[in-house]
Amino acid sequence: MNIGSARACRRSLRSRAGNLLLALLLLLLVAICIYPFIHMVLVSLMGAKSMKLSWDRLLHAQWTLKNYRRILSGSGSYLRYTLNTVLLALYSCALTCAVSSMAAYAFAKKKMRGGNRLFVLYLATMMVPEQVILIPTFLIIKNMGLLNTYTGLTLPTVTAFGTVLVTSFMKNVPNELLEAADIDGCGEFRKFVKIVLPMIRPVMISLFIFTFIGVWGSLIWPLVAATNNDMTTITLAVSKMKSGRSATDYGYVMAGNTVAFLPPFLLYLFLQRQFVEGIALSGIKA
Amino acid sequence: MRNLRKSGAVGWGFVLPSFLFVAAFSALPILGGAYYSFTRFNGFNAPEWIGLENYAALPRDGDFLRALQNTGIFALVIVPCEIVLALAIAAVLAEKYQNAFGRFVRGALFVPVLCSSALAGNIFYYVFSADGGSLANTVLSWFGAARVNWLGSRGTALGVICFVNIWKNFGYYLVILYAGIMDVPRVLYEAAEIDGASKTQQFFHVTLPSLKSVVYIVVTLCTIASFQVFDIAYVMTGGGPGNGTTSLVLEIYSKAFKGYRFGYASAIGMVLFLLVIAVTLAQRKFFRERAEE
Repeated sequence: MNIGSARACRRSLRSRAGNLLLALLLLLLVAICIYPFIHMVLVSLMGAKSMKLSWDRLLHAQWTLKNYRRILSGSGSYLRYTLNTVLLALYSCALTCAVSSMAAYAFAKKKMRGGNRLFVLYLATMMVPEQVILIPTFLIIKNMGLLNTYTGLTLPTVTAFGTVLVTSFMKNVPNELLEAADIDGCGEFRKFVKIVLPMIRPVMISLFIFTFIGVWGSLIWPLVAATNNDMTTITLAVSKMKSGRSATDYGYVMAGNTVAFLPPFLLYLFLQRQFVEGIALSGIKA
Repeated sequence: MRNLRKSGAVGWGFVLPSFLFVAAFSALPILGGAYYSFTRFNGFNAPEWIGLENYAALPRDGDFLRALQNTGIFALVIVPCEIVLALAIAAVLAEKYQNAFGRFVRGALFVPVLCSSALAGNIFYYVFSADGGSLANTVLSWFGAARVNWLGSRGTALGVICFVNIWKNFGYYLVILYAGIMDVPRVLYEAAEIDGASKTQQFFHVTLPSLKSVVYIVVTLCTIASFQVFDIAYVMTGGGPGNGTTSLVLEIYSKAFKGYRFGYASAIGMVLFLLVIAVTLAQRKFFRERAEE
């Protein structure tokens, strides 16, 4: 064996060790990201009233769904909170998707006097953090008498973001298609529903996902606008759990956390590709 | 019908529903917030105009100054950590792991993005609780270290809040940056390879320059988000101990909805707004200048 190949051999050994180290590092990161959820689910399924896990404990645990039965029944039930949040998220998704796709169609495909200036206003409102307008929004909803209602909680979640996102996608819809429809004498609204909407399906799914996850995880708005226990959202309930009398009832708390985590997680499992594509799209086009 | 089309009435018809929402719940509230910031207002009686009094009181308000300082700390710690981590992982995954393992890692690192910040705060409240059985203290005990009251003192509590923020959000920026790297034309790498550039050199001389606009977007998004720290701090510490981990948004919330000082809280809101605008413009200028080089 000559010196050159020995050196190459050593280099490939070193790079293989480097690769192994890199893979282990990535797996460690994966563990840090995933383990808290595994811990959460395990504690929620164990009868023991402790957060501590050990092999001994896991081997001798009495697995039970008791904590889930407790959290999903009685007053202040997570069933109610989940239902509230699902309804709010679906209302918000429906409104956002309808309103944004229509506006985006106009911005991208219609000549409007002042249209560009209005679009700049849309972009400008996206710069404003939600919390900066929290107080005026709260007062508007309060004066409309809509605190603690589904309508009041839903209306302010419709923002310019959806329109801006869909507009960037709408520009790819070929004009020839729309002109052909015009020649066929297709009405404006029919053209929108029959031709435009099917073509922008991917971005509508992304918008649906963003809106759903956004409303699901939103804390500060329900915190001020849903003060009535019957209107509590699941995220709001989660935020209160550690200060209530259940604070050290670990299994109970973690069962609540699991219930709050599952719907977005399931959505992700089913729509993984759309999640990733939507985020990449919003990042590159924003 | 033709006249209608020319004047753009059809277009306006399609915009109208969206416009009503944006006007009523985005544009109007900004004006309202600006107005309230010049008033004394408890949310019930009519607002009373007091000029700049709220703003004049800010520099003497210890809670506000602490909130401003903490918000700065959050941004300075969270933004670089999150971006560097996301960028490094994206580069490694794109370079070495465009396979099933890479897909698994990307999928797994995205899971914390799915849970709400409040949920992340709640889980990690227990992970970092003071007792010896908590996960964080168990890990410390493996190394023979004494247990720590993580959320009990300002320094460690700030660190924990930053950690949870990074843990929860870096996967989001990872997705954007990974997509950005995949969009870099392969020929650039092939040319660099022919010139004998190492993988590290390729990252700094090919990947980073091509990613400039994506990095700009990610840095801006991340900075704005770190100015808005609320959920995690609200759940984990409530701003405590004392006012040790309070943030601007926590101050807005507590001054308005606990203290019924809507005018004063609006002034804090305007400070936050100006801060966001200033940093966004500064970053745009910075990246524009870099792009011209």
